[in-house]
Amino acid sequence: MAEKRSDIEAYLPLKPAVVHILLAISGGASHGYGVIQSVREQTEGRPPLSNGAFYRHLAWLLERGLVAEVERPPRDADPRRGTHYRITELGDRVLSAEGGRMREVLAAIESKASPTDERIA
Amino acid sequence: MLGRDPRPTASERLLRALLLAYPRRFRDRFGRGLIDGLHEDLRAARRSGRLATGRFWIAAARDAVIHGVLERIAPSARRARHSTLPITPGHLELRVTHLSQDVRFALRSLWRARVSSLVSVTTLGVGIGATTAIFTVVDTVVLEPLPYPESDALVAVYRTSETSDRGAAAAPDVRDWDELVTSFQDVGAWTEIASDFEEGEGVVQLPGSRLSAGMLRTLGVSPALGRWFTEDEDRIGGPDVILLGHAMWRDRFGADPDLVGRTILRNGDPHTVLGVMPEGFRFPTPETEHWVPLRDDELLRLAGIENPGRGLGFLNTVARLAPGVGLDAARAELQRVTAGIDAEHPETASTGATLVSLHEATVGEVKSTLFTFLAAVAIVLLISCANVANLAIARSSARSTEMSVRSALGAARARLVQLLLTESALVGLAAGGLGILFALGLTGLLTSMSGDTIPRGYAIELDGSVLAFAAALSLATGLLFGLFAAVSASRPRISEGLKEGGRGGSSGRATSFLRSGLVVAQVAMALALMTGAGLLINSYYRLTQVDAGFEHENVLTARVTLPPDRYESDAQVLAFFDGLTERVEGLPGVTAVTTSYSPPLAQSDFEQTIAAEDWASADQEDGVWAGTVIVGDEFFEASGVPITRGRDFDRTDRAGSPVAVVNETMADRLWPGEDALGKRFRVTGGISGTIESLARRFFPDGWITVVGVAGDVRRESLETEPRPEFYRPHAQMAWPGSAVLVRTTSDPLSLVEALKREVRALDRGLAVTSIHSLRGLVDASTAGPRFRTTLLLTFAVIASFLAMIGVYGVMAFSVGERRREIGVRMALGASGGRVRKDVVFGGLRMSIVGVAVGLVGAVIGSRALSAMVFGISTQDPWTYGVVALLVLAVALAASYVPALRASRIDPTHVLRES
Repeated sequence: MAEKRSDIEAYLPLKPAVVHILLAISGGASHGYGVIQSVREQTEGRPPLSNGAFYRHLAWLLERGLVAEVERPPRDADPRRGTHYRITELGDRVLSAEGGRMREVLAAIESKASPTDERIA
Repeated sequence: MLGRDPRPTASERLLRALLLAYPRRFRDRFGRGLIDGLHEDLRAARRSGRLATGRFWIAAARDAVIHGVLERIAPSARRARHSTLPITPGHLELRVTHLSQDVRFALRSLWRARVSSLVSVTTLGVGIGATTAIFTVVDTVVLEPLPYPESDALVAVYRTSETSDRGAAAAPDVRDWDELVTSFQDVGAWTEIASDFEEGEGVVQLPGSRLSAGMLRTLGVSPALGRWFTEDEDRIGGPDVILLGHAMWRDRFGADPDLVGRTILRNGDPHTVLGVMPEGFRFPTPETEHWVPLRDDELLRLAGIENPGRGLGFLNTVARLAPGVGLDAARAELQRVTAGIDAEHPETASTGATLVSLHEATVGEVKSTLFTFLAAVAIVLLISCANVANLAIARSSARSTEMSVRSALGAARARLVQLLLTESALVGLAAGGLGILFALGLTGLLTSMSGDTIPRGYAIELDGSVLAFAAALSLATGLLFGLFAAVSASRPRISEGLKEGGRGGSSGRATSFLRSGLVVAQVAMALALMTGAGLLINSYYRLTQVDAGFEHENVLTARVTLPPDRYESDAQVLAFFDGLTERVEGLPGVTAVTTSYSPPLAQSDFEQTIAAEDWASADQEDGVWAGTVIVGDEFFEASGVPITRGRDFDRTDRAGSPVAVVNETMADRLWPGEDALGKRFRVTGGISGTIESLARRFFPDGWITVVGVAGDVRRESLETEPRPEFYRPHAQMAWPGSAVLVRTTSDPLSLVEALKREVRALDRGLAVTSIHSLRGLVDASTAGPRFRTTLLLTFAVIASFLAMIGVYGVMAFSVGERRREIGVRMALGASGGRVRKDVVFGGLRMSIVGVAVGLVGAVIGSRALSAMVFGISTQDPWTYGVVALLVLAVALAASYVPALRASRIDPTHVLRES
């Protein structure tokens, strides 16, 4: 079932942590701690992502079908790690829509920021 | 391999316990992942040491409380974020209406019981505020890493000797450690200095530091402007260069970015400014504002010391451990290498070396004090939580009729619970707000009151996450007990509740047991805190009664240091101080003037080993450590230190053979049971002190004759027992720096300007530093104990007050509950006095149990105070007895008011009610 554009926009803007989580999962399915680790690497721990916060974001993403549980984890996966998560098609589209929104914001900031740069120089 | 070790470890059990904060649904779904993530974080934290592990647990607990509560209030799966919510708009509306209804209703009902609401909010607010303030201090001072990159790898390296575990190192030691200890990636060394800078007409002396070229590399910091000096500039004959601190650059040079490369005058000599350090760089002390190259060989030459070898330790050393090397491994290697060095160089005065983390070296001493305070405020918070819990239970029991009516009218139980929870949450929120204000005030007060007693105190700022933690904790307490009360009150006992009609409910046995249990715990905790405060008060009183050994009223001390290039000969130095003494003696209001290199409590002492002439045995050959105090003519008369035998120094000592006045401790140590007068001793070696104190020319090779014995003086602090010490006449040790002691007839500080004028009249280029009244120094030396005592006493008083409210609340409530019973008894002939006694004894019974439990807790807990008490044992029976009686008296007073009310119950009135 294809989503309408407006349906996707309804998810925007995403919380920064949610963006990073989606970004981390979009590279391939991973278990929870793996996602936390790659988010922390992406953001260099700023702002910090705690375990509790991560799983609450994850619950939100799962509920809305942006992320799904992987039914059969890869064979070489460490069984202790538990459930693996993957991004859904919807999740992918929401993430790119958020990217588009950010680009617009960035463009707006840059067009405003350049005169200030000159003043500093 | 499926699963972990079947038997969970303690930390695993703790992690699982944290998960209970989340609702079951959430736990079932994500519990495994959460545990896994927390486990990994814990493992990473453990690798970085115990401190990091502690931080992990605090963060994990905070995380669990915050997200657990949030998840319970607003489940993520249903969290409103946009219109595509999976819940219907109608559903949402309903919830919101209920919530606003509940809030309005809760506010109304809290207002109706405004006294009890106010008590709840205030007690919780005080608890949250105090905990937040103290935790903020602990977090900044003890838990936060030092402000250097990868500061965990920084260690302070010390020489050890018989008298000290933290001795200074000799320059060749530092070079050898840098070269030979492979555990060290970098090694740096520093000493503290004070330099003269021009200021207006005169000269001002500012604290600074000489650092080795490797020091900044070790710390991992770069200048904000310009560059650090190179190894070449850190060599004898190198160019005169200086780096400035951010504050000095801003305040004295108007933050001029072109200052780098220009020259400024330091000690009268032009120095090129190489750079400016970043803001907040405060090494080695918070006051340090300028840095010059260490050049230890230059220092030695300036002090006139030739070929010191390894006998003279004057450098502080910091090293950065190589990646992956632990503290213990590094210490073992350091000790191995140093043993090798010592075997090759028998002249070394020290016996070994050791290292501790730089963090430990900086804050180690106050750590236990701060953790004690943290425990104290935690107790205050617990007591206030217990109060709120008690009030919540009381309120809900009292309202069981109301709940029954609502239930009978068709309110769902969940709605009733929600209603009561809203009340608890509102109380928690208000208390949190009050707590913020209280914490802000208290943190400010703590920082200003603590003065220099807390290292890194300058960095203290209120921490939002700490505040959130305390607020969440109090909210959780409110919710938990509100929930307990709500569930028991909303139990559908409609007919029962209605049957009791207007008489108010009577609480069940479990509830009343819980309530008395809470009161017992409150009394016990308050007693333990009171005992701690009592011990500190007792010990502080003893401290103020110590005889310091000198007369400290109406004495001014100030230090003048003569630059060696302008005062080369002993005659010049002596002429200056003679001239100054003469001039100051002529000032109005001055009764006596003298000089002393180490005035009492001003800590500029130096020590060496000495041996008595009549000592023969080999084990005495190393000598005993004794301090040297260089004093001017008539020092003893002017300072009020009594001469018990022999004489004061006078002008005849200038030309004569070396003489000394020894203190009683030294006389007893060297010549026990004999008369010290006329005996001789000599300096045997091992000197420790500032670089200037190491110059051999000051120490005669020959024998020194004892011409007098003086009373002991408490030199370092009032707590420290006097050590062996001898006085030498300034005339025989023409030291280029000395403190001037001026005895006056009125306020000594009124003489400061006149003294400065006299110094300038003799030499315009001299700075007068370390200006204090002796009285002020004595007061400052008790500032730490005074601060600790005041703080703990404050917490103890708050705790006792809260416990008193607890006792009062329970007694008042139980009297209210037993109105009918009491009324019946009085109708049957019981007197008011009898009823009063019954109620008071009821309260007293609980309090006695509390006091007993508290005494056991105090005996165990007060051990933490052992480093803070002076002159008494932490098990001092008098303190325990007095405090126990005091707490019982408070409890008695708290139950007396409800008892009085009980005895005034009018039986006819009560019986008519039913």
